[in-house]
Amino acid sequence: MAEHDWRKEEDAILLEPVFSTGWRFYLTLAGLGALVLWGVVSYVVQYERGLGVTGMAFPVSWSFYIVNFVFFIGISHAGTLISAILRLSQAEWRRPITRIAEVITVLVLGIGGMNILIDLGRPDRIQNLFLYGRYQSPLLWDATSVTAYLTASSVYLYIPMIPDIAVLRDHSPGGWRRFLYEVLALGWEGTQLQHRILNRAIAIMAVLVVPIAVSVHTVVSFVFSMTLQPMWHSTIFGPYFVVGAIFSGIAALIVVMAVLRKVFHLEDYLQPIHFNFLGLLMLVMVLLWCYFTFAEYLTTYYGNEPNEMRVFMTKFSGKYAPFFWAMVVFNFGIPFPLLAFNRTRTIAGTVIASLSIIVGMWLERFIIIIPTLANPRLTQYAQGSYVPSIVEIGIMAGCVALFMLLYVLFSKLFPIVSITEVREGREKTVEIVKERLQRYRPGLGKLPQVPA
Amino acid sequence: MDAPANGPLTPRPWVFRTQLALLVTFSLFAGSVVLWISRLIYISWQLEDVFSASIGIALVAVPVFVFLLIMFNYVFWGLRRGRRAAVQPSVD
Repeated sequence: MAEHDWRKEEDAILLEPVFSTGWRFYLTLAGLGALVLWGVVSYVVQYERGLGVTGMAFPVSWSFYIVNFVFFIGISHAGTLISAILRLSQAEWRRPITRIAEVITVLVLGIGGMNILIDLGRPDRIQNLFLYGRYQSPLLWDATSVTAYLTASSVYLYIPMIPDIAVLRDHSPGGWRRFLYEVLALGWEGTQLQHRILNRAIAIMAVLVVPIAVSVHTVVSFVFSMTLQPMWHSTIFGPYFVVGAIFSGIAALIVVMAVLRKVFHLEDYLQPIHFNFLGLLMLVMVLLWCYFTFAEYLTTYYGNEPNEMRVFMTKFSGKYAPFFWAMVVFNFGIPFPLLAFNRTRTIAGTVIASLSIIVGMWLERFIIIIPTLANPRLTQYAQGSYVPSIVEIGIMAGCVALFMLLYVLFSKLFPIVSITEVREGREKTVEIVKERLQRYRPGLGKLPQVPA
Repeated sequence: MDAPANGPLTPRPWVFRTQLALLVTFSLFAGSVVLWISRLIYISWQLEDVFSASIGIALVAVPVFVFLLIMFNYVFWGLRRGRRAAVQPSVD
């Protein structure tokens, strides 16, 4: 097949990162690769010498890795959940952002799950989990639900990508990339039957992934709330974690959108209104997060149970107070005023708020996990403390860099904005919205005429 | 999207073989997870080890993987059928 010239495509700017490579790409790869290497070296050190090289010491047996696991799984709600909700609610403005969000989900889920493996003191015994695992353990529920979510998210990312992969196949000059696109396009030719099958599959998957996404973070919270540890044994932990996950997910999505907009010159696709709408959604989540946090802490305070109060006070005015109050500032103090007013809910405003929320939500995961472990219910155990080691910091830096590196590689192989969805929106949005309005607007059929 | 005017409508056999290999890999993966969960539940039942707790999460997980398996097969064979329908000339 003689390849078509991709530069003549209407959305050529979306294909440009795939077909042309500049020196900045290699520089980015090198920089991120170096950080990933730091993470790998740190892990090798930990593998050889054991978990003693970390800052973990009895009774603090979970630390950075579990904090990162919960944090990354939370970020993963950026994609599939937000994309599915926007698809199901037929929000037309979703079109340029769905794939950006879905890719975040798949990548961070993988990295989140990897943190569990990193946390294992004896990874060489991993096969015992499969052979002799006890399915009564919430830890195994976690492994199952994360695997289910990762699989569902990957399918949900892949299926809507098929028409775009066919575009790449038709423009690809040859070699391994052409082969890759030919295989992944599954023979897509854009026939009516293929469209019908694909649209049906996307709609069904969108419905399926919402309960899976909600269940995943609920199950993550069960790892803590199913124990009797102080300030973990809470009935609202499930929804509290889900709210926090969506909250941090939207923040991550906004940051990634802003970076892609700048780097790939997608100003025409990712417009201020997208940031504005997501900013409003994030404002709702700020308030919901505050409500849940308030409910959680007030119940503990009012109950005044001595073990719970020990943890409570260490967060409020003790060793972990700087982290707790920083969390409040980053999750509420900075983003709320920025997102509440039209004047500050700009691209810059939402990005600053999002960066603040990402830091704040990481601190939230830290402040949930560490103080409780350092002040266990059984008083015969001495109180513990935790300071991360350079190995843990290296692995964390490696994980963040790995996410960025994989995102860069994905955008090198596939269009990061869905060409098909954008094209469909351009051709049909006015008609779709007009038809929808006619369905529920009082005074049916008396719509003002839309000029052609 | 319109079909490319100069594109072959029948993929080369090795492309299809690779696609089939992907489908088989995915099916094996999903099937293995279902088998693994079933085995762990069976063990908990055999050992009388809080069987009810195991069943709870399995009731959610197993149908999800089975459903994903069906969905992937539906898209794979459906798109192939849709393409073939366009290739085959009409009887009329």
